[in-house]
Amino acid sequence: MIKLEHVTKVYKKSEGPAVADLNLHIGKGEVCVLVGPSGCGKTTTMKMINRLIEPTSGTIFVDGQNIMDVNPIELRRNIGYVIQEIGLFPHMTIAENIATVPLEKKWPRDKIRARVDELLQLVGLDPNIYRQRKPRDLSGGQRQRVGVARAMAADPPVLLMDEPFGALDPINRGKLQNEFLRIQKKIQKTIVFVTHDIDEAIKMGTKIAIMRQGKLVQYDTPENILNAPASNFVINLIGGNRTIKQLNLIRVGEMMKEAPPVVELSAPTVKARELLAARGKDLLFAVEKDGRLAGYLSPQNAREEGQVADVMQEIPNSITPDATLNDALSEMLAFGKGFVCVVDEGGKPVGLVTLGTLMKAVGGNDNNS
Amino acid sequence: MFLHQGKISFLWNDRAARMILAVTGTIMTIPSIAMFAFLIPLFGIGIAPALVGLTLYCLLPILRNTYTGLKNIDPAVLLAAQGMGMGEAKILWRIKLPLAFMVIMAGIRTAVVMGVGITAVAAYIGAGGLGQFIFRGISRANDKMVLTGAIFVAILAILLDYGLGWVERKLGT
Ligand SMILES: Nc1ncnc2c1ncn2[C@@H]1O[C@H](COP(=O)(O)OP(=O)(O)O)[C@@H](O)[C@H]1O
Ligand SMILES: [Mg+2]
Repeated sequence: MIKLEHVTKVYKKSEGPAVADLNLHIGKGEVCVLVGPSGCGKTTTMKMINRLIEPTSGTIFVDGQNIMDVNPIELRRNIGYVIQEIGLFPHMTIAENIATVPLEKKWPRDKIRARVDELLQLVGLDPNIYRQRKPRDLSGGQRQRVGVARAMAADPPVLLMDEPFGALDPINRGKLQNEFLRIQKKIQKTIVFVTHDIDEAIKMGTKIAIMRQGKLVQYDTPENILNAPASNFVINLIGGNRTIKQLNLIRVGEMMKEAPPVVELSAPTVKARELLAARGKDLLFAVEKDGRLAGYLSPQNAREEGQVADVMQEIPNSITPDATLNDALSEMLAFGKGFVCVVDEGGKPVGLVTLGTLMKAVGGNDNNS
Repeated sequence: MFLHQGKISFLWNDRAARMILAVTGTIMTIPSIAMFAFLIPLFGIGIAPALVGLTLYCLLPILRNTYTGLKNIDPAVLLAAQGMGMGEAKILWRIKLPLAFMVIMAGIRTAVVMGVGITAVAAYIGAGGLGQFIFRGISRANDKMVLTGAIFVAILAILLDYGLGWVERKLGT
């Protein structure tokens, strides 16, 4: 889908090249993460793909076409672009911001309106609340979401994302990463994703392109990069515990155990005791009437008389199946218990991750390497 | 990241812009009476030199504010616009001018208020107008006449400024 062949960029009045003889093939539907220290040429590479910068030499193909043969305006309208600084238009509403490219493409009004609502929904913002707001009324995380929605507006086959979650705190970043992966599973775009955070690269990438001083030092799948770093530079970039980083590669949904039996909040604890005894489990989930997770019960809690709601213990955090095992580990550490609950988007329990699950995952990977 | 701005700015020649600002800035420091005196040999007396002088004075606040307004737009906003495939003209009309609007309007208001004052002085070179009352009042030592002229000039300036403020609010939202 995207092919860079011997691409070099030398800025005027600079000594070395910002990008040197770069070769990169990115397949359709892949997420290629460009990662490397600040100044290694990631943004430059990305801007050459939509002709914001012209390469000094070399050729770039998008969808089989040499981009120098395509009108740059036309090219850019078919490549979604999320810039590092978000750059929402402050004088326009959120809806107008998102509608930018569809407007340029002269879509009919109804279609644009429907598309804006669809996208707001997709990135988790209620259209009825946010459609008419201005960017200044939004939090940093919400602006990032709008930036992503704006880039996807005209449904371009290719997306360029320059540190799209860079301005967020770790918790929100993790959340947005997971949501993005969920969306990407649905839309299957070809994505070039820039980050300087190797953990983000491991988590998001189908493939990772590690860059250093304008050169590509390794281009491979996250697994292969973790298992066989090509140089000391890569080893240092990966840093710390590689086994723990492997947890970034595994989705909770792939490894989680079956959810424990559930009992309604209004039920008497007798019911809970029966369930525990019948299933031979040592954990029960307490749920609301509509099935949403409310808390949990240990056999000890269930021994007391009364309603489930009175004896259950609260669950401060739960995770979704598209989170990584690394997220699960963080939650466990924060929660201080040996397990974390997995819920679907509607908050209903769908599984359980325990320390045992993590041990199994890490052990399995150790055997592979 | 800021290095890119030069390319996407339509103020492609920043040095020229700054030179023009320096020249218009210098013009503004010339007292209006001196300026009119200087224009008479070139344009005679009456309306013509008054208009020329007025234009020269009004140029600076408008140019300077337009320049500042366009210059101070967040480069990220312009990069985003360009990266999404908006053409130069579209970026100017849909992004730059709306964002610089308030600052440009402020320049226009300054120019108008200042212009009213200078126009009054232009009566001195036979351009007529409210300034006549003031000058005649002075030469005849008639305080009331001076006051009448001055008050009307002030009212005119205030009304114009108020009107433009109204236009600004109408267009700005
Ligand atoms: N417009 C420019 N003019 C000159 N040098 C630039 C320009 N943009 C970037 N550079 C230089 O090129 C190198 C790569 O920059 P960049 O692609 O922005 O790196 P990254 O995105 O990986 O941090 C840096 O050394 C930077 O200083
Ligand atoms: Mg960068």
